[in-house]
Amino acid sequence: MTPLFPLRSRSAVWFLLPALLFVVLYAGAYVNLADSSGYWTAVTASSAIFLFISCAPAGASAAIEGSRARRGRITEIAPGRSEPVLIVQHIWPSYVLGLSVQAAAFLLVARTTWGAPGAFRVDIFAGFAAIILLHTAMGYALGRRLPIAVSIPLSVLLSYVWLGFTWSTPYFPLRYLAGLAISGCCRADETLDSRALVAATLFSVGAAMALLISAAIKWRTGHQSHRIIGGGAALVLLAGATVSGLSAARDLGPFPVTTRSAAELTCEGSQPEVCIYPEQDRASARQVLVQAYTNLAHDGLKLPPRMTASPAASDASSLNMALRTDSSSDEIVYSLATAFLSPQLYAECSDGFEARGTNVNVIVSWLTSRASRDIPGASGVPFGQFGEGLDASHELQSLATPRQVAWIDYNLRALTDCSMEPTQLPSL
Amino acid sequence: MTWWARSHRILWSMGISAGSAVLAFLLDSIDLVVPSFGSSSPFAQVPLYAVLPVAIPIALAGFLSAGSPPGYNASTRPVFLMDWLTHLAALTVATFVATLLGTVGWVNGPQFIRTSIALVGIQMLFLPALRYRYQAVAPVLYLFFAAIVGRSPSGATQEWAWALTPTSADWHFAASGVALVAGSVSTLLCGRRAFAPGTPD
Repeated sequence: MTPLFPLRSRSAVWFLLPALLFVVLYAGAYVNLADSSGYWTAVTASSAIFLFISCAPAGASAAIEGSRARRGRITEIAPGRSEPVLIVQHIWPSYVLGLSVQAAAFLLVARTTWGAPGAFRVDIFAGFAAIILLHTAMGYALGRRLPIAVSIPLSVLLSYVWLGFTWSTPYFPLRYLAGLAISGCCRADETLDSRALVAATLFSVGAAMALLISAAIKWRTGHQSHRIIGGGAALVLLAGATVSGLSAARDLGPFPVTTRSAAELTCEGSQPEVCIYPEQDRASARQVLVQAYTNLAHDGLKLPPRMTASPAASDASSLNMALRTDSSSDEIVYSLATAFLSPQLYAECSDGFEARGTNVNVIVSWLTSRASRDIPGASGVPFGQFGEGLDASHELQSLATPRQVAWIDYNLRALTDCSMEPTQLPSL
Repeated sequence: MTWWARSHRILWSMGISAGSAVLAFLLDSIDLVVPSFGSSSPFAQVPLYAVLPVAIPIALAGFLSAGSPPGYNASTRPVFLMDWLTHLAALTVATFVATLLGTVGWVNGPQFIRTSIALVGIQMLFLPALRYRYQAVAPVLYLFFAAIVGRSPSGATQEWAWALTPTSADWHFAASGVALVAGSVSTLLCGRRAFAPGTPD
């Protein structure tokens, strides 16, 4: 009996297991869940990395199906089905293969995010579906035109080259046509710039249609009018898709992110009012922030009334800070301490450059160590170069508290104000 | 002979060899980014001049496959020898063009030549098993695996992935030569068997 679906004769079935194995190995070896975990937009977008793995087998499998159609002269011997129906029946298993591999990759990446607020971003996955369609169509078109000796290796190679080459090109809009750059999204205070998704989807769907139309044209046996109309339509579609994709992405930089809407912030409390995104809002995060703020306020430091999760620079009304969804107490205090610095750490003034460089370490060390008091799990030691200011900040803390605060207050302003002379601690 | 050259698209084959060298020269500075296992970074950079040579074996496989109808091995002329010479001719053209471009300052020409020889050698090695129709899968898979798993934890290229290193040592050329000799032996001694009567096309 012929099975309902001739599994053993469809190449997609044979590609499925190796591709899934590849996904599991790669996810186990490299994918760093810490950067995206807990935030559905970031998790969905970061699974774009796996397009490398889902597109190539979809294309190779479609190339085999296309080659079968070519060698079998299916479209030349008075077919009973129309050409679009034939094409859909040829490529759907390959397309489903690509989608399944991408979905499996997403499930692996999202395994630590279940239960987080928000939901899986269907629109991003729809963008991936468009990209996989393009690679499937490319494989199928190659299979319909070229000998199988060429079409299989070429479909794998082109798939990789298109994704990998565009990703390293300095012309950013081109990166968004291929779509891999979507994986650069996002921190919890950012969201995916929809233009990146629009560019990838427009180009992929348009180019896929152009490729499928060109695959269906009977160059040797068809009517001349069909060839001209078909070829013209394919060219117009391809050009239109490229132009509209590039213009949609023309203003994007290397990372496809925009600031997340402040409306999604949940604000609680007053003096300080803490405004953070639901993903960052775990039991301890607010407590740590409030405690750290209270510690600094208690010392007499002048503080804005609000703390906000935002990539913007801090101002008089709010301390803006970057928080991950799984930040430790140390990282939260560190974010608060560095929120006092302007976007530039210190200004390049004509003199006092070195003194400012030294002072910025002392200031962050002091803020970290004072803010960490009574916070369980906080070490009071800042990360990175700021740790170099630790000894001097201990010396500073041996002074009376108002003098410490006056020193910090003055030198914090002196960091970016060239008219103010930074003052040194006696030991420096 | 003219018919043979035409049916095997010999001019096309040589043109693609020369063209891939010229393209590798023009796109010299571009790197591909591929996912990578085994090194400390999740991605590896593969220079385009190490990937473009694969056009040579793919074209050879395509044209030889198209020009070898059933019954080919019944030919009275030494067709397998001529096929083998076609491989050598394609490599000679690529080497010649890359050397020529070296005189105008292309420093990665030797790497291109080395990789071309290695990939064609690997392809010929698999002719008895894969026949012309599928043999180009071998160098592509080699490139693929060399790019994604051919790194040591420090990020350097593993020795077996020599065809992808950005600089050439003498032994890289020796290794490519060995691949070519092994491929030639495989093609000339066992190639005919792959087309024996009864094997599916």
